[in-house]
Amino acid sequence: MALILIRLTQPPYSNALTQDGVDFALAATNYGHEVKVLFEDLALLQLVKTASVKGLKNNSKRLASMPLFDIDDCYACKTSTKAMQLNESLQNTSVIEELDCKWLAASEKLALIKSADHVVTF
Amino acid sequence: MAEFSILITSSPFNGDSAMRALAFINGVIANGDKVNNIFFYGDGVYHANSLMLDTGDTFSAYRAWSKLSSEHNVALLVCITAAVKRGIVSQQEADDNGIGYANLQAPFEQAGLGEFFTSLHGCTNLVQF
Repeated sequence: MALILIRLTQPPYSNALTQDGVDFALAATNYGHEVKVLFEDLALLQLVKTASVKGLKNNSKRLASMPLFDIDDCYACKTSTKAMQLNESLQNTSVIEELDCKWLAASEKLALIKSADHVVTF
Repeated sequence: MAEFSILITSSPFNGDSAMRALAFINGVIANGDKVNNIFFYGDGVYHANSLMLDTGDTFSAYRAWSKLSSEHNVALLVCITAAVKRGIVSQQEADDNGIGYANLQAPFEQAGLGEFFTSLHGCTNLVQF
C-alpha cells in the first residue's frame, strides 16, 4: 500500500482536470492505497458548495463522498487564499463540511508532500 | 533495481512534456532500472490517437511511443474511460457504436485505473508528466 497525495489545483467546472483528479482519488482507495487530498491555488474554490447543473456532475457532491471512499485527510493551502485573493469568497459562502479540511501553512504543506510515497497533480 | 510507473496526464500538444517523458523513460531503462508500465490518463490519452499525422518539422510523440514499446517491451496502457469520452476508441467500441474506424491501435492497449493502481503496489517510484 502506498500513500498517494493528490494535489488539486484547478477550479471546479473549468476543465477536465478537476473531474479526472477526483476520479483518480476515488479509484485509488478501491485498490488498497491510502489517499490524502490537498487543495491548492484556484482549487480552493472547489470547497465552495455549488448547486447541481443539469448535464454536469456536481463537483461538491463528488467531493463530499470522499469520506465514504476512506479519504479522510483533506488539506487546504493557506498561502493560496492570499495569492488568489480568495479569503472573502471562502468566508461568505457555504463550504463542503463533510471534508473537514485542515488549513496548512507552507512549511506544513512541504512536510505533507515529503510524507507521501507518491504525489500526483491535477 | 528500482521499478517505475509513469503517469502521462498532459496532451501531446502540451509543450515538450512528451519529449521530457520519453527522455526520462529511456534514461531509466539505460540505467538498468525497470519501467513497469506507462499509463495514459486524462488528456494524456490523446497520445494514443493513431489518426495523428506528422507535420514534418515537429516531434511525433505517437511514433516515439511505438518505437519505445517495440524496443523495450513496455506496456502502453490507456485509461478506457478517459479515452472513450475523448474519442479514442478501440475496435470493440467502434463495432459496438457503429463508428467507422478505431483509432486506438497496438502497441497502445486499453486498461482501467484498477490495473494502474494494482501495478503501483510493486513500484517504488511514480513519475507524472
